[in-house]
Amino acid sequence: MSDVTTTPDRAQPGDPKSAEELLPLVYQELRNLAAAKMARETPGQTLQPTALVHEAWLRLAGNQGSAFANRAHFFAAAAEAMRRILIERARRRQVLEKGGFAEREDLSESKIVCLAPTDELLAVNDGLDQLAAEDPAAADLVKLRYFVGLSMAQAAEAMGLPLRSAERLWAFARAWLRDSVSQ
Amino acid sequence: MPSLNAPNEPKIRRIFLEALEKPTPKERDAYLDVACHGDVALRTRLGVLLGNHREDHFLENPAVEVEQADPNRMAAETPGDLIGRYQILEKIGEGGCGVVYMAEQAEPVRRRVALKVIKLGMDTKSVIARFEAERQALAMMDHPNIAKIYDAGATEAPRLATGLPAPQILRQTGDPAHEPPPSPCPLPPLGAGGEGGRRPGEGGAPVHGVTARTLSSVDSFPSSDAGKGQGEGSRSLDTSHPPLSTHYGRPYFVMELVRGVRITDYCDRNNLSTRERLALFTQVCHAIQHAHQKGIIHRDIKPSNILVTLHDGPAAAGVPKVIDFGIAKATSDQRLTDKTLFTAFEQFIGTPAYMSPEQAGLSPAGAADIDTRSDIYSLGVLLYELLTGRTPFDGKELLASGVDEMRRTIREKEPVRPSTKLTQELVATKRAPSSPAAGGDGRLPAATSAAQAGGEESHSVVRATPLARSSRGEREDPRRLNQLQHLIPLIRGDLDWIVMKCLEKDRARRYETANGLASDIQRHLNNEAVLARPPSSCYRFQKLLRRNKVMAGAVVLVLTAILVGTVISIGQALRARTELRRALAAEAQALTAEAKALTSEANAQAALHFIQDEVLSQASPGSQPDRDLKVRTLLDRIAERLDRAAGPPPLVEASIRQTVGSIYTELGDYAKAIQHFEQALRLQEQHLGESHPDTLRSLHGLSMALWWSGGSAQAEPLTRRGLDASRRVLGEKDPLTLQFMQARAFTMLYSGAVPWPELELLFLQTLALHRKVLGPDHPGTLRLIHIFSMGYHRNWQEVKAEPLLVDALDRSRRVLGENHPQTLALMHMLAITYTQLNQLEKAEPLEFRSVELRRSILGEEHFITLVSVLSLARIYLKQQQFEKAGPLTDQALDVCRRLPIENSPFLASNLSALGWEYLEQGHVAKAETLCELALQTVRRKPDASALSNPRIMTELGAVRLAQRNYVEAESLLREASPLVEKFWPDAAYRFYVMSLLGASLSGQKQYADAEPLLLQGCQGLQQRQASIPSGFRPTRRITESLERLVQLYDAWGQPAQAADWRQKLAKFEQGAKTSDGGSIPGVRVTVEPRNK
Repeated sequence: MSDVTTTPDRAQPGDPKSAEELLPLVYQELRNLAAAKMARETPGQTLQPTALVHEAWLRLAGNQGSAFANRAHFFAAAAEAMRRILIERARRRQVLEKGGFAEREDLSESKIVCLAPTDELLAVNDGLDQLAAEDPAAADLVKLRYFVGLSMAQAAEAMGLPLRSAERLWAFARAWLRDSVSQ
Repeated sequence: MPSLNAPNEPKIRRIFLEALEKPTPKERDAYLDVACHGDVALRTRLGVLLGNHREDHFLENPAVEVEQADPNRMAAETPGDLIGRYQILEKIGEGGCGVVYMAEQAEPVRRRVALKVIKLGMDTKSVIARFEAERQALAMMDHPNIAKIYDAGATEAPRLATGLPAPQILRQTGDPAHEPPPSPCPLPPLGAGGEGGRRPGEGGAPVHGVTARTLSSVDSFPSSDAGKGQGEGSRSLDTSHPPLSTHYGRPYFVMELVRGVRITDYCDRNNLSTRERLALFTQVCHAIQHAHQKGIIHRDIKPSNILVTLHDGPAAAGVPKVIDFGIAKATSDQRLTDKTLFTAFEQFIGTPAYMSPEQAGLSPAGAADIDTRSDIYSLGVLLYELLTGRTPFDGKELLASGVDEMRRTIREKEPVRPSTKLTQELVATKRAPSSPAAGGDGRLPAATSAAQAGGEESHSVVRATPLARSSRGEREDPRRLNQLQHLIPLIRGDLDWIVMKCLEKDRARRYETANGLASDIQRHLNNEAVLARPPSSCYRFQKLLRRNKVMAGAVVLVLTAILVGTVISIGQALRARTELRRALAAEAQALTAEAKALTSEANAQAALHFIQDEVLSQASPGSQPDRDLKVRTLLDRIAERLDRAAGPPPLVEASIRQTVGSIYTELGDYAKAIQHFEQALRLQEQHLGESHPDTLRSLHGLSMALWWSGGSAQAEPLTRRGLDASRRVLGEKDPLTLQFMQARAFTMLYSGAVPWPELELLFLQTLALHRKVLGPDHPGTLRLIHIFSMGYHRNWQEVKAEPLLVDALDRSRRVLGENHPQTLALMHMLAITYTQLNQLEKAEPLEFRSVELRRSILGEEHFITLVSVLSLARIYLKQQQFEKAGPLTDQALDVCRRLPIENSPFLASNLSALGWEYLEQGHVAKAETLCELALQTVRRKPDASALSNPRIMTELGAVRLAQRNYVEAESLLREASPLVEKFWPDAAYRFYVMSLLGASLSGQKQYADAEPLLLQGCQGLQQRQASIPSGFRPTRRITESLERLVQLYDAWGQPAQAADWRQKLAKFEQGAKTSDGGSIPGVRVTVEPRNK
């Protein structure tokens, strides 16, 4: 009855690498890309995670694309990488903020504008870990939409899902996360 | 390839989605019952999840910035449409906030109004509610420079649904038979749900599908067990959800129609001179003042909200009108977190450039904390822009910098003065290559001639073009150069100060009222001294001179006198000139104070060093044991002299008090130190202002004295304030800034508010900065290491503290000398560290020496001495030299009973630690005395050192356990547990406390409750064995936790379990035989109590 898919095939035959294993690669790629972009842009310019991730895919698909089972595989890793970038930064800021210490940040990824309040960001992050344990596909979708900022259509495409399936998956993920985030 | 098979789909998701498809709650419930198969947990879980399913903004906004695909999706009203009782005539404006229409009202009066429809994204219901809350106050505003606001409501906007993808989701999946009925669903007309005073029949018939209605609340999604499916059950599930708030339509506001242009445009178009601009601005101030008196804060003052009405003919002066009162509050108050703040910027304010620091810093809890002074700030920004053509911070740059950076800028960054801004522009303009072919003069002859002919009074500002233009690579307008050269001297001085006073980060330092601001502008225009200017004597003389040229000669005289330092004689010399005398005397006094203030810091430092180095450290043991009394007598005498009526000039007094306060702090007499610092601070705030470095030094002294005396909570805000101010005034790397950083870290250490790992990071960072800026030998760096190591000690990480302390002690001995208070403090800390690491042979001589020296310098009964004494006693006890430990303990106890020890949180924890050691050695009675005394202290002043409290409670709890007083043990340990868990979530100590608590329950025969605590405690201790400092006796802690389990199962009548744990205990003891030098064979107090 249900047409909502589960996790896109992460482990393809002959490709033992999981998204988790590919994470460092994607993480580094995103950061390099951010640095490269920032070097070209004028100061004050911000980075769009959506654009960043898409560009990273184009680059990796050419070079190391073989490491990824498919596009969905890459996006799962990229969303996870983006999530870590944002969370690490939020935590760092929180620590410094508590002390009344201003942050000196030169990293290029700081040009990614985080609009979410830190509390919400961290709450979503915590909730996601639990959700991922129960329903990895739902968690992946949240990462893509929340941390990368993909629209529903983009996220569905990235995960290789029909739009309608993604929407249903989204409805589930939201209901699931609501408790942990709104607490 | 995506797999579309169901098998991998989690069951819970499958059932959830299936249930959502069910058209009625009843069917859904029935389905759930079947699908869950009697799995109650799953059924409950699904109930919660389905209850959570509703359409709103939850998670719909990404955490990150996303490029706006199509911002113009919003449906627009067209002329002829009826919104409420207002008929749209034409669109007259569109901004980030919304669209403004000219509209016609038919009833009760026929009039033209401005109708502003707010863009999407607002919670319409609360917008209207907030507006209603202020409606009465708004109605009371009646001022020619304020545009009246008449009404607010909500459009109905079924067509808006097209822009919103979310609610469509489930409709697509639904059966066509369940299609929702066409919107709009019938709702009561405007006024039906609101107060009774509204006119009837205002809802009107829909015209072009746009009607108005009130916002009735809609029930939330009926939970699956509610079972009341009647009215809504016939529709598909998704429509029974409360729709997105925007389905209620968008809020709109109706106000007086003002035909005008924004104030900045008006000034530039008409080439207004600075004086004319100020006159116009003053009118705005009066309008704002009127509103403030009615209790209305505008909250969104910016050029686009201040329109100047256009009259025919160039002679007529434009009338400024402040519009949009009440709208900012209604629309921007909701959940002002980062996200909405950001949205607010983009949609409602357009630019954060006018936002006050307190608005930018809003936490959700602080929403109520905006007051009239926020408007004063915004007025300051407006004035800044009117004078320079630019805002203090560039709005676009602020937005581009991201939320955090933007808030930081607004809250912390000091803007450059208006004249500086212009100078910067001038420099940039001159540097830009100017081309003779630019033809600027030719194209703008009128402006040029106006600037030239108008002389001083005609310096119009051309808004915000030059820099922008040059950055775009266009040629510079030579006219601007000319203007700038005229403008800068005009603005430098008074106007700089007036603007900067508005822009103070600390609102207490801004003008109290808008009228105050207007009056100061008037003073400037009259060549009188403005209030904004700090009372610099030089400035006052300038003002005097300008008013009275005769004074010129006198000034030289006075200045000379100041240099010689004879103020009074000057007053006498001028007696002949009675009309000038009084004014001059005041000026002279101010000048004197300032001259002295310049040297005050040097004086204070010199005096402090003298007393510290020459007096304190000269006292060597044996030579003059009463030396400290003399120092104190000296201090007391100074204090007494200061309190007498005819003291020294205020700033000199302040400087002396600062010095005296520092010495009292060093001597540990915090109450007196606090008193002197407070008085110094008061005088300096009065005469130098809050941000003067001298004032900040007193603030620092005060916060440290408070901290040492256990007033951590009081000290915390002071350190924060000081750090902000110092950073702003002196810069990031000024020694004073570093001192405040230190002070902040200190206050956080004992408050327990920040987990240690994070605090450690802060300390390390601060330490690195100290070493870099001040150097590793600096007393400030050494003190930081002292306190830092206290942090390590409180968190059982003495291993990390040891190398730091060894190095610091070495440096302190070298730089400050063996007898310096700082050296002694480090010596004591190192001794404590060695004690915890069970290196008693190293600890003993250090603590012995520190006791010796502190006794001779501070006296036998000083509590700092007592801390060392208690620590030494503990070392002896651990060495089982009872004959040495006993007298020391008794002596310390004797003194403690006589002293107000709650004023030293450190003393309490040392008492308790010694008590616990007595317990370990089997001396329960002595342990009880010490631990009880410590706990009494904590009870009297619980906030003094939050971090120490749980340990003191635990230690007495352990004593009670040994006394088989299980009830009291339980109560103490239960009180300690949550704190221990909070402060040290992963430390072995937490599991130690857990096991103790288990034992207290076991003792009360509550075996079932005790069991998990004892098990987890034992397991936790074993897992963390390696991290337990040997001074805490890891083997023994684990052994006793195992023994408690054996006891539990014995008493519970579970011999098999008991035998099992006996075996584990034996095995552990076997393996641990060699290690744990601190364990004392044969002494087992926890299990075999001696008393009671």
